[in-house]
Amino acid sequence: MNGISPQQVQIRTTDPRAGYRAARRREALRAFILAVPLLVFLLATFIYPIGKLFLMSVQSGEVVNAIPGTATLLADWPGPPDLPSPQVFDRLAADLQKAQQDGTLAAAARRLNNYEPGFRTLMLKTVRQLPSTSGLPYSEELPRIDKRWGDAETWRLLKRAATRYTPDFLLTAMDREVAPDQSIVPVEKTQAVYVDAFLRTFSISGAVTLICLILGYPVAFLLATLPARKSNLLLIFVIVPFWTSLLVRTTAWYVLLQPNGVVNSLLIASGLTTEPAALMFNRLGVLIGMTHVLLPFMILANYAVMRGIPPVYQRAAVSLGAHPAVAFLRVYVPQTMPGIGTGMFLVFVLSLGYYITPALLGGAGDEMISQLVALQMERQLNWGLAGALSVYLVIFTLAVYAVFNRLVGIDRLRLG
Amino acid sequence: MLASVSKPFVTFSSIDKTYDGETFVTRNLNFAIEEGEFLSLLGPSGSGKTTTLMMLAGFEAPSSGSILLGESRLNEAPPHRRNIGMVFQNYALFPNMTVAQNIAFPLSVRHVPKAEQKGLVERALAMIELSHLADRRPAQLSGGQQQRVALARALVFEPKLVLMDEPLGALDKNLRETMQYEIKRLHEKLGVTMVYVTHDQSEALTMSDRVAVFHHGRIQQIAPPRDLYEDPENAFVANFIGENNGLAGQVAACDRAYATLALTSGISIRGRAGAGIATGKSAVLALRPENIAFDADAPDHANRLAGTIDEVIYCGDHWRLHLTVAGHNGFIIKVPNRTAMVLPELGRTATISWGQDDCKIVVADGS
Ligand SMILES: Nc1ncnc2c1ncn2[C@@H]1O[C@H](COP(=O)(O)OP(=O)(O)OP(=O)(O)O)[C@@H](O)[C@H]1O
Ligand SMILES: [Mg+2]
Repeated sequence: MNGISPQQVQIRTTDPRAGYRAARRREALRAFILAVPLLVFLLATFIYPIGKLFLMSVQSGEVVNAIPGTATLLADWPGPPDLPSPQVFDRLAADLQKAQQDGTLAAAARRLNNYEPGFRTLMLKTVRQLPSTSGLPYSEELPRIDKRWGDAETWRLLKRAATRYTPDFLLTAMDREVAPDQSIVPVEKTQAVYVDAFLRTFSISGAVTLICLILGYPVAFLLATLPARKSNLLLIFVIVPFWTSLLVRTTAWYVLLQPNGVVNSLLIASGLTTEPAALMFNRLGVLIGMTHVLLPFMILANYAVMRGIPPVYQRAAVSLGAHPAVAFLRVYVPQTMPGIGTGMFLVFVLSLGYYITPALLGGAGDEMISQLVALQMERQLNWGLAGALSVYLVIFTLAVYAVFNRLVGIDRLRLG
Repeated sequence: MLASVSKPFVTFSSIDKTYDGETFVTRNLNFAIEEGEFLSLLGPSGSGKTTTLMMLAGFEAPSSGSILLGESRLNEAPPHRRNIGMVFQNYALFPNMTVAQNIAFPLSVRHVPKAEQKGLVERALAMIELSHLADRRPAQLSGGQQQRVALARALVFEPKLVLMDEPLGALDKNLRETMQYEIKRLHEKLGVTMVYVTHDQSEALTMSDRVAVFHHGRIQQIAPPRDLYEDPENAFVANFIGENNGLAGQVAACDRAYATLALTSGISIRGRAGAGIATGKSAVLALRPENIAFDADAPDHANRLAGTIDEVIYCGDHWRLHLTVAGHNGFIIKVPNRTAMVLPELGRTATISWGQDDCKIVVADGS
């Protein structure tokens, strides 16, 4: 303790702000290093696949890869009403044979079928009758093989498909297409399924969210106000469903709700109904199953917030002359807004992506958008459309987040 | 009793309270609160002060007995109809409302017209000198500011009765004193009746018109501060309020106003006789350290003892001496300090004396 060493004096005399900034930089670097493993993980498992999916929704390389020469020539063709030049016909015939040898034809044909059902057959049928033996120029030979080659509309679709990047998947996902005159028009009524599916998905998710809120909020309140021992016990009942797989729980509802299942047997035995009630393969089944699966999220989100609200506010409000119900609505409920917001957001967003439960418990009119995404990916192998549908789903989810955050401030929530 | 000219405003009669059916948290409470008075409930932790306040506010129901407001029975009135203002220990300002909204809350639940509310809130804010913070959230205020808002909120609807449960418990010493003054000022200005729970005895003594001392759920004494300090009714009050040299013994003689206490060591002390003192009963001495003369030539002092000085503590304005007297150590004397006063030596034998009116012989326990 005998005075300050010269080195300490040195530090004192430098600009204190510089020291502060250096300390902040070191802190930031440290935080970054600690987060690197997580960042790498997120990048590999989340950001990269989603980015890839987004890319897929505008990418369409199959046709260009199969018939590159035709694609180049078609780029200069102005489109209907005239047919392309005979040169293009020759090029297509050559390209098709090459594509079949290279094995790229199948993918291209499948892709073309997205534009017009039957296009795949057209391609395969055409290539089967090549090379031509008649000696006619291909501009006559191809329409002879199939008269659709004599229709400029066929060539227009081929030209649309033969580009590397296309807005068509994003349009299709909104039930829109590009008309021959280049304007964007709705598709035919019979083919318009996606907008309806999105609306249905939102209405089912909204309904599930509201039911969860109505059922979950009082339970969360009970949990938060009971003595610790009792509430811990109850909390286990809330959490137990998390220990069982989603599929098992959904199948359990399947067993309970089917026409000769437990619930119907009870209803008939008690004389409430004579016929089995339709509890599944309809909207009701979907709502019951999804509510059951998602209710714990609503309860826990609200419980986390309510646990931090001391009962003294309620007492204070009552002592100031508020009826207990008024005190609850004006003092307690506003303080639980972050919980309500988080719970609703969680349930709503998880509902948007629900797949197994509506597939098992729903009927024909209850398909949700993720079922359609899966259908496009697994059966139709139309990754572009699946990607486009996912893009909209992500955009809508972000929009919902923005709205909730604006209304109740989810980011102000402290869990635990 | 003193100061009982005005009519009783709230009356507790034979109030018992038990939470579990076995132990009584309050027992046989009988007291009246007078209109416009400042009554403090003082007592050690767990003595039933909060419970008493909660019964008055209506958040706890008495197990038996009745609470009267004026002439009417209050027991069954729900808390939101009692029209009693309440200030909680941790303020309980609603975090989802601004300061102004908090103060307007009791008015708006009473459906006071908006324009009138505005005027009343402005007046209340001016009263606590926080008009410039009307639009802040409670979390953005200091502890003292929050306390003042809580006070304004409890007063703005002009209740006849305001209850406060350790309202200053969370504040530091300086702020406490400022707020004590503030509360006292508002009490005098508005003339409301206030019931104030505290376990800080200096707070109770300086602020109150009367203090009720609680112990084990019973009121040991309810009296103005000066009576409480100078005329304790029993050993608990004497020992709990201020410092006391509570030597214990048996009453050897007792005439109308004075009694003689015989200590085990054979020494007798003469002092004023408290209520319930009778010959042969065990009793305790109530003697304040500042009433004892040290090495003084005072022939009129009835009590004169010798003691050994064990410890001398300098306290600025006075010296504290710890002595062994009549075989008991821990006997305390306060000697006023004068500049350049000669320090009493340790281990020296000193003579201490006091008059028969300077001490009181009280019963050992209140019940
Ligand atoms: N809700 C309750 N249930 C059971 N016992 C209780 C309850 N509230 C208080 N008690 C008990 O009643 C007794 C008196 O409590 P009370 O809160 O009235 O004390 P207090 O005088 O206010 O004490 P403090 O100064 O510590 O606030 C305590 O022994 C306490 O344990
Ligand atoms: Mg208390």
